[in-house]
Amino acid sequence: MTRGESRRSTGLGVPPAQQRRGRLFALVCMVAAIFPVVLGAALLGAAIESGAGFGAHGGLGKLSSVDAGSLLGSALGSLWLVSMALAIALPIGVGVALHLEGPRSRMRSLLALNIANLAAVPSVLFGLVGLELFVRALRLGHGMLAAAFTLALVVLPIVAVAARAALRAVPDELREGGYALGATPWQVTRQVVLPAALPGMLSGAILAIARAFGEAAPLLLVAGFAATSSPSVSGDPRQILPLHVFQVLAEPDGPSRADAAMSVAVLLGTLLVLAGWAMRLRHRHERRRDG
Amino acid sequence: MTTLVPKLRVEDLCAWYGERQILDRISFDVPAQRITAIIGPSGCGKSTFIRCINRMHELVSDARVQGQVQLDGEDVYDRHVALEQLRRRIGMVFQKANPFPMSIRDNVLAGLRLTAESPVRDDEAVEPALRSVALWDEVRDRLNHRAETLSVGQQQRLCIARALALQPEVLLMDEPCGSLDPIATARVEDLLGDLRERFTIVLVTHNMQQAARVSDRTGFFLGGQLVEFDDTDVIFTQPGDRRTEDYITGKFG
Repeated sequence: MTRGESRRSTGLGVPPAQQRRGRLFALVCMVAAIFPVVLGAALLGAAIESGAGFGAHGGLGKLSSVDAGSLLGSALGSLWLVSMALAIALPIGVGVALHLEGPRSRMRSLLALNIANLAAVPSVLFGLVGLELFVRALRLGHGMLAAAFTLALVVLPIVAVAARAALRAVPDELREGGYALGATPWQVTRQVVLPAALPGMLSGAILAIARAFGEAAPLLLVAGFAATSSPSVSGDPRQILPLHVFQVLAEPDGPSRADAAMSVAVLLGTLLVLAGWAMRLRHRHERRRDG
Repeated sequence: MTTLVPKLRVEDLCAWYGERQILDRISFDVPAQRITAIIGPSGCGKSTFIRCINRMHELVSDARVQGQVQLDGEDVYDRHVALEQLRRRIGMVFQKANPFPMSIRDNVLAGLRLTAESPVRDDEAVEPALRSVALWDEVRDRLNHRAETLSVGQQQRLCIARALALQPEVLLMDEPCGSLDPIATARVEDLLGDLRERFTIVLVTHNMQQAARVSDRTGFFLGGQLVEFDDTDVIFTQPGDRRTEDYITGKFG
């Protein structure tokens, strides 16, 4: 530091303009970070309030009118569907990411661009694909299985993009260390690269869970609009939380409003628990990595 | 220059990255169970040179090699050479310590596990490998701790142990002390003295004092060419080439 610089920074007066701008920016960032938390809390609060009937219609009596059985069934249905979808999407997504991270080629960059674009395609379109491909062409019926495959398609781009970023973040020194020990490319990937990329991949899984949990439109298409439930061993895809909310709201009579609100509360709550669990998992792996 | 049994024989070795030629007709013998130092200014091709010996150079997509590197008389660039087998016989230590994100024990065993057909019987290989890098007494009570919890100097010695666990014949070291402080450097140098009895070591370094202290033979690289190769004493006391003299007396580099 030269003498001139030190003299300038030791002044105790008003901080220079850049410094104030920096603080303003930090403030904006903080507000932006807090906003979704407040919004989420407000949503959850509003849902619980209107569901429990603290509002105009008098007391907790409303709660009894909520069909608790079907709500629980929907929550379990959602868990089952999302687990199946992730069980399909995670291995495929990681495989896609591994392929994309291979030696650079035009084909690969074209593929990567397309997969990233798929993440922005409206999910209704995935529903149409699911309807044609899984329900009709592969004759899986309107059951949970077709729904799970469709949902897996919806989250696949998210999983693949996140897994790819995680793979890229693994330092090349680790790969070289593996090769120098006489490992084959597959051994290096399996035993060095994938374990190192795991925390990043779990971040992708969190995003995928959140997305899969809230999807309604594509599942509506796959499940079909028929009023009668379709017989299926794997379960009825209409008995999941987002569709439960949708169906209840579609009914014309009043009391169902409370039911819908409770469903939303359960949906948000379950999502929070799941995402929290996934983040804990990631945190544990990160801690292990950083020591 | 006294004659010694050659472990590695390099003949007309040329290497390229894309269109850029990095090595230009390098030829010399690396004696068995001695330390051979490669010195030279940055960008003279010394790292590329040792990466050609265990064929790590070709991991880069547009890299190319010409010429021969013989290990005990066999050309490592022969079509029938299995890369994995070759790299187990020629171990490598890098400039930056690169322990795997796993426990200290698993790091030592990594080479054995990575390449084993059957599960490795643990621990038999751990102690001798850690002892030979003088790390055993420091970590014996925390073999299950993450390797990242060690200091950088310890991590580098762990990486050496990881390479030694495979019992290679040749050990390539690419500036192994490049990111270490003087005390950790001294420990690694002590280690080199102990290891020279058992392995053939090729040591790349830009630290001339280090080369003078530990090596038996020294090669001076400049601009991708081997300027001079001789006994270390000769290189540092009466170099035959003017450029070598200029470099070791600090006129450039």
